[in-house]
Amino acid sequence: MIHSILLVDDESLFHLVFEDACSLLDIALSLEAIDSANKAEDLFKDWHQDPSGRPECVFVDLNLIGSSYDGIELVRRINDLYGNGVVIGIISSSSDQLEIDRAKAVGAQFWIVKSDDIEPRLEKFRLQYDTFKNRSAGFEVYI
Amino acid sequence: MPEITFPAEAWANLILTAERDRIYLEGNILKVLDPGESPSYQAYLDKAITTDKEKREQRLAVTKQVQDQNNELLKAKGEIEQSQHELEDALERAEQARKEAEGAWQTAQNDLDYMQKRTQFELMGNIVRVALLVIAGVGFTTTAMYATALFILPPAGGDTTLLGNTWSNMFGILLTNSFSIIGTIMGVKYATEGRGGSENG
Repeated sequence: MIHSILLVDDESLFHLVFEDACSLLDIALSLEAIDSANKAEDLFKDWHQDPSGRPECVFVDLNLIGSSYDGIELVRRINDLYGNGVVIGIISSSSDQLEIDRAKAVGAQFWIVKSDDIEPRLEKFRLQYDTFKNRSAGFEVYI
Repeated sequence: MPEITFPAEAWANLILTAERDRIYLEGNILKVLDPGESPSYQAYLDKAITTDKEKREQRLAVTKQVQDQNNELLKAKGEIEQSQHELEDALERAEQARKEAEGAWQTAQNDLDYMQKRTQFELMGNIVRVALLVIAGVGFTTTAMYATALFILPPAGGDTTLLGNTWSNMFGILLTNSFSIIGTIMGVKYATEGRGGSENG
């Protein structure tokens, strides 16, 4: 089970869906949800100095309305600037191959397509999580 | 995974609350709570987890339903905004076309007005030219006749008084007629301009 997850998604309803789905699937012990890339960047700046409380895994929405940049740029910043080494990927309703390639290029480890029936994809992700954590898995797309 | 334990008194209170009020612990704390070897603690924990799961399933179903409705509303809103945008564009194009049509109508009106005035000026010019030619011709002819009677042909009985009066009268009539013609033309021009001005106004 993942110890802690950070969800960055501007859709507050999806926070509830994700939290309940994670709980039902026993994916995570704790989950924090925020709605903007800027808030996430601020948190990672702090965790760069003091890693206590840092999440183990980060799910980032692709389009973050109200943020200064999109989810892929956030993934790049977290990976490149703060070097936290967390398991990080995109969760989006889009399955645009160009965006998926962009995400892969900036170091995202997975891409999960959001839809009504998200639980099977999260379950597959849960089963593969250890390989993401030890960096033995390649980039994975859950459609 | 970290696990926590409760003292026996806390377990007792939890079990009592569950039996009396049907209130159970909820959330992720259930995943780290260690019941130990006690079957009653384990039974409480199993019941709490089952209850929590049922509630979450219900909430997830409702949340998904609300999310779907929200998405449909957002989609409908987008379509309405798109339609509104298209209507505004169409209205703007119609307004632009109306302005262009008005401009074309105004241009045509100006051209027509110009052509009418030019035709009127040309007509008036012709009338004045012909009238002046007639007047000048008549004047020249009568003057020539009078001069002939005075200097070339000896007058019958040397009396040119009648001829002089006739010439004078003739010249007066011609001048009167010429001014009359000019006056009439000026009147027509004035009346035409007045009518054109009221039409445009």
